[in-house]
Amino acid sequence: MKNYERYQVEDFFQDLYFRQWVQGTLPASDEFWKKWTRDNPEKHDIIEQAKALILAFRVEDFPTSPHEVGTSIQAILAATQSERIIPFYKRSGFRIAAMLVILLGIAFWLGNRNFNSKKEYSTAHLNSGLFGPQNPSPTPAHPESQIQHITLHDGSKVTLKANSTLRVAENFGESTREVYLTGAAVFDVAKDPQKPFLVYTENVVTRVLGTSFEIRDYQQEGDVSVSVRTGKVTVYKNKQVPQKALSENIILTPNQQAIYVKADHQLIKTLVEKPVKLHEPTKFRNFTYTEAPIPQVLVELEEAYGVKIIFDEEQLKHCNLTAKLTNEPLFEKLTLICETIQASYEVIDGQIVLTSRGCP
Amino acid sequence: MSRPQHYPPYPNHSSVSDDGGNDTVLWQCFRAGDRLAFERLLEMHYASLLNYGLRMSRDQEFVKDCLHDLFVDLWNKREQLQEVHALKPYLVVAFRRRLIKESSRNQWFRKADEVTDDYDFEVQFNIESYLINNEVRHESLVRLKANLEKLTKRQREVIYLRFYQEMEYEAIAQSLEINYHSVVNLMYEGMKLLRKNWFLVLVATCNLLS
Repeated sequence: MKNYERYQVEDFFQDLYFRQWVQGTLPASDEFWKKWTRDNPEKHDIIEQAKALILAFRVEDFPTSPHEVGTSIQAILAATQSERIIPFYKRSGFRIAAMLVILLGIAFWLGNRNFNSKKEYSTAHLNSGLFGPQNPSPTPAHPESQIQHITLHDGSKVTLKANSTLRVAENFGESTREVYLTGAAVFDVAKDPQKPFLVYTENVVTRVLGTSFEIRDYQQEGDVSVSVRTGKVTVYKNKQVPQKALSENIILTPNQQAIYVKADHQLIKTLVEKPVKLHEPTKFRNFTYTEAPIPQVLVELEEAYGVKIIFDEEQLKHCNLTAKLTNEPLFEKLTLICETIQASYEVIDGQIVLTSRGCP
Repeated sequence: MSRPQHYPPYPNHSSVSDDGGNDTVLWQCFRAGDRLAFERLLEMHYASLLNYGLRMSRDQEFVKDCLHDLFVDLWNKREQLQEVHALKPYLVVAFRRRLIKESSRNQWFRKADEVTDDYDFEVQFNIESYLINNEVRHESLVRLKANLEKLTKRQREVIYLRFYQEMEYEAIAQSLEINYHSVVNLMYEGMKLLRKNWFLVLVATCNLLS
């Protein structure tokens, strides 16, 4: 019996028996914790915090159906069945033997179906049926320089650029939504948090839940880019590159872009070339400023473009701006501001860092 | 909780701490060619190994094929196999080596010895998905997010084995082929990143997980 009276939040968090109770995996007859929490009301806060922590740090599951697991197990049993049947019959009798014959048949049938479509993503169907009415022809590859609009059957829209192909996984929409892209495309993904949308290209994997973004991965081009318009996406390197370089993933927010440098297998986070306004500024109409304090201007730009701008507020608090910055792209706006206050900026890790000596 | 070595052991009435001598016996039966033991082995370990493998590679067919081949090979070579007392770590190690070997098979240019320690391992926590999918402005949640991003793959793997696969430190050490103290340290460092923020998790939890 453990001395639970002395446990702190983290002790409970680490305690398997407690975790099982919180996650509901204990048998219903086990009323230990129910009783214990009733007997120790002064521990209520600690218990609640430990519970919250356990739920927050539950590992996200990769769903596999019990049916699939059963089928796979039967396939293994079938594959090892051919030799040494006798000890099995001896032990288990005819009942199980008969059952096994039936299962064996099913397993072989399912096994043959499964193992034909083995390994490698390249077996993913070029299933033109999934491309919807806009694309009745079964040729997803289209060398002619034209843009193609495709609606996937989950409602996601894909604008396929010239010389690009899109293939849809056989099991698209079952537990995940996976597509394989060569070339470039803009995705407008229908929101479905249960089924992550994964775009595989030769070099990177982009994972989203519902958002709009663009990918360019042409074989003949130097680098690969993924840029985000709305929402958030995660970019990983694809497994085909040497494993040593498979370390990180990058999370992108609007107007950020991931660049995959083919030469050294690096993923870098930066900003898109021309950040677009996410929403119109509210406080100052149309970026028109008269003697406005610079920090306020920067914060407004930050909000309008959804891009983090790092600056020293203390240093810039005496700097003012009188300007009309309505139509310039973000980077031009920044250049203008920097010229006015003798500062400079650079893009580091998808953020803008502004350095200045301040104003008198 | 300043001393990482003093995490409490499991209570005795826990329902999963029953593998004391059973693994040894089950393995002996399996090596002797007992089909029921083999079935039991598959029932006990197939699903959790599949889950482990999918975190190393997203290609489900590939992972399943490796796992299939692993068990078929184990059966065919059962008479030459060693005695094993803890099956899960044994199987995890065998499976991981096979996955790494198979996935590097086509990459003839890679040297044999640089394969083992750096493999991909994907583990995401509920709170993390929440933070990714929702705009968080609260400063401490932003900090928590930053801390989560600092967790290494190995720390995530340890946390995964501990809390998802519900393995003990000793078994985790065997599974990762590192020593016991390294596991405790990985875990401790991982938890340290999160510890300062635990109270904030409450805030988020109220909105998202209940």
